[in-house]
Amino acid sequence: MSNGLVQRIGRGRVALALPLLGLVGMWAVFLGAQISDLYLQNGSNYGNWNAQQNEFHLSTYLFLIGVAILGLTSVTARRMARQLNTTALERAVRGFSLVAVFVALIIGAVFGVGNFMSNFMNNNSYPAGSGYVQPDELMRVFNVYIPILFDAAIMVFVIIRAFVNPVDEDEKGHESKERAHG
Amino acid sequence: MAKSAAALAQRHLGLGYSVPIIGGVTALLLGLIISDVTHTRLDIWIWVLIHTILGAGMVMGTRYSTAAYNYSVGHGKRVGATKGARNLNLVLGIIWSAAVIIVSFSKASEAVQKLVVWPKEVRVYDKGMGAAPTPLPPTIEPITSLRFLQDFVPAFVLIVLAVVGIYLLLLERTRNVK
Repeated sequence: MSNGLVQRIGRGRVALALPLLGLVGMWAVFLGAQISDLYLQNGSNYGNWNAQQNEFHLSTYLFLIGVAILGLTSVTARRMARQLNTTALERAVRGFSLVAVFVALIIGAVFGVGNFMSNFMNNNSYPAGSGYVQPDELMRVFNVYIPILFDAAIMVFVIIRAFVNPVDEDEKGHESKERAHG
Repeated sequence: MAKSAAALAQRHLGLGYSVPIIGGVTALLLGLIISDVTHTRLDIWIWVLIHTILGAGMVMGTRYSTAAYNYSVGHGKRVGATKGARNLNLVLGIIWSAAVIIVSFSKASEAVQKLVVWPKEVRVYDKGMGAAPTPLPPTIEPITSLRFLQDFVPAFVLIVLAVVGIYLLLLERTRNVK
């Protein structure tokens, strides 16, 4: 199906459309994340942060999915555009897909640092009987630590796929011969 | 024949510089007129219209300036600052797309926050003095069709407008360029 689309509208146009569709996908997932966050606001406006922290934050994972959608579509476009160099459009798409990869990486970095900063110093323990909710460490792992790890994994994947070129088989054979000859 | 082609290229160059400005002025005046006539803050759909006019101006400007550039490069004749017109439209296009994307995300966020209604009394002291208050939760209103059309759809239309605009800007910028 994807090959048919490429043949019909051209590889350059598909590579141009991919990051843009990824942007729309990210927008939709971010909207869903914000809607899911509505049901977690209870407690946050009263200084009772733990009440909010102890619930599973679906929104964090939805934001992460949004970042991943933009990253994957951008990197796919970049890899498609790598072989394109015949028309002006294809050359422009090469530059555009590179910008899209940078934007995806910046959003990923902002997500990771933002997640860290917004969860810093807000799992305070309170004396027993104070009435405040005690922090749930396991939920904190799911809400903070794992999303940061996933975010880093996505960023590393995007960087490697975007900037490490696949080696041609001929070139590989040539290299190993050279090494064998010392 | 050659003279008329050169004249056409010059006209294209002029339009390449002026169409984005004309589009911008038209969009701003339209917004001002609607605001003055209705004496209200601009509805989001008016902003969608303003951004559409701005984007259309830039796409047309890119088309004309690229046509002038192609003539200049293809025939080896100088009809004016054709590269400048293309670069002007590129810069304006980048600013426009970034602005529309940011507005779209912020309007989507605003639409979601409009669903929350906070109670007037936000906390209940039911455990005596010194005890933590029990927070009263906000009410989350349902997404009605009216709310969907007024708040969510315009934000989505804005992101689609940005995506279509970027796509067309790049296509027009590279149309028949050698």
